[in-house]
Amino acid sequence: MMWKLAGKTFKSRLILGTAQYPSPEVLCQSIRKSEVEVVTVSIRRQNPEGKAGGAFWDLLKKENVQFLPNTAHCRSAKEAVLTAHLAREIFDTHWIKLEVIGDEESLAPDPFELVEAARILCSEGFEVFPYTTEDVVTAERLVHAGCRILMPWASPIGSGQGIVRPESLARLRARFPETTLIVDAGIGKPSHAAAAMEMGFDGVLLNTAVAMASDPEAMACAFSQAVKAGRLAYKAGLMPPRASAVASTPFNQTFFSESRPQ
Amino acid sequence: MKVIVNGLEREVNESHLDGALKDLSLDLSYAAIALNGKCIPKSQFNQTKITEGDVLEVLVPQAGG
Repeated sequence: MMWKLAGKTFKSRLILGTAQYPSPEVLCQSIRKSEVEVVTVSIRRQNPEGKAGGAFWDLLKKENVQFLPNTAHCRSAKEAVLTAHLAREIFDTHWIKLEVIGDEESLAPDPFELVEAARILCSEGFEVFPYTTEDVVTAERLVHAGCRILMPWASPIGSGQGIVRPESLARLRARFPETTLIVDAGIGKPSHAAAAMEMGFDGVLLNTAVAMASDPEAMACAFSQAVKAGRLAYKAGLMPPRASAVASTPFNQTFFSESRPQ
Repeated sequence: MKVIVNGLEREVNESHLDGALKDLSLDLSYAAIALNGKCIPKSQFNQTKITEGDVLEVLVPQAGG
């Protein structure tokens, strides 16, 4: 089933980060085998020797994928806006994954700088994918700033803890039914990704859980299937939880139904 | 004149950005340039002047999450 992300049509709802893989070849194989169509990238200072991007970029640029550059490690709106401008030049895209870190220990976003950066970049025509928390006030401000997409965390970046506050994420989903919501950060297992999709999120973005797997290519496939399964389950309609047990097999026509009270 | 390129002092002879970048012999095929904290689009390299002590950042792609 196709879906639209920032005006473009895709099949896969999994977005993959490109960092920490054992080699660029393994990264590209993981992308191909999982049929991912959007990948995140970043920028760095050029080495004094002057080669642009190295083996990583030489291989990745040949993949038929949409690049989503990030503003990783930025601590202020000013840094993030400059990084977005530079990324647009390099990757020739107005898409930007906006990260403005406010706390070095948890890598939680700085909501004030994040909203300010989003406001500036949206006004300049960028398609802003803000990395945020499940806080509804920040989400509201980001949407007000012009964001059509929000990327709440499941748990801290790289932690692999999965969805630690499912009620808060569910509330965010309910409050922003028209906004594209992609769960970003903290996804450690395919079951975490499936759970996010079952909750009605539009997509999942992850990196470390695939890159650090013993077999990244197989893990990328596992995540791809989990995202598909979660989406299918959401569309199919999940049963509401019940407070107590309810037998699924009919009792009335059993041979002992008359002799035993229900 | 001396300029700072990616944190290191370098010597360039040209007074415009496009010439200065040639002096530095950098691979600019997938690079972006910030001059004194402002991104300079490629189309403006030949109109952008460089002065002593300017700070240049040359950025290229890298893997990211």
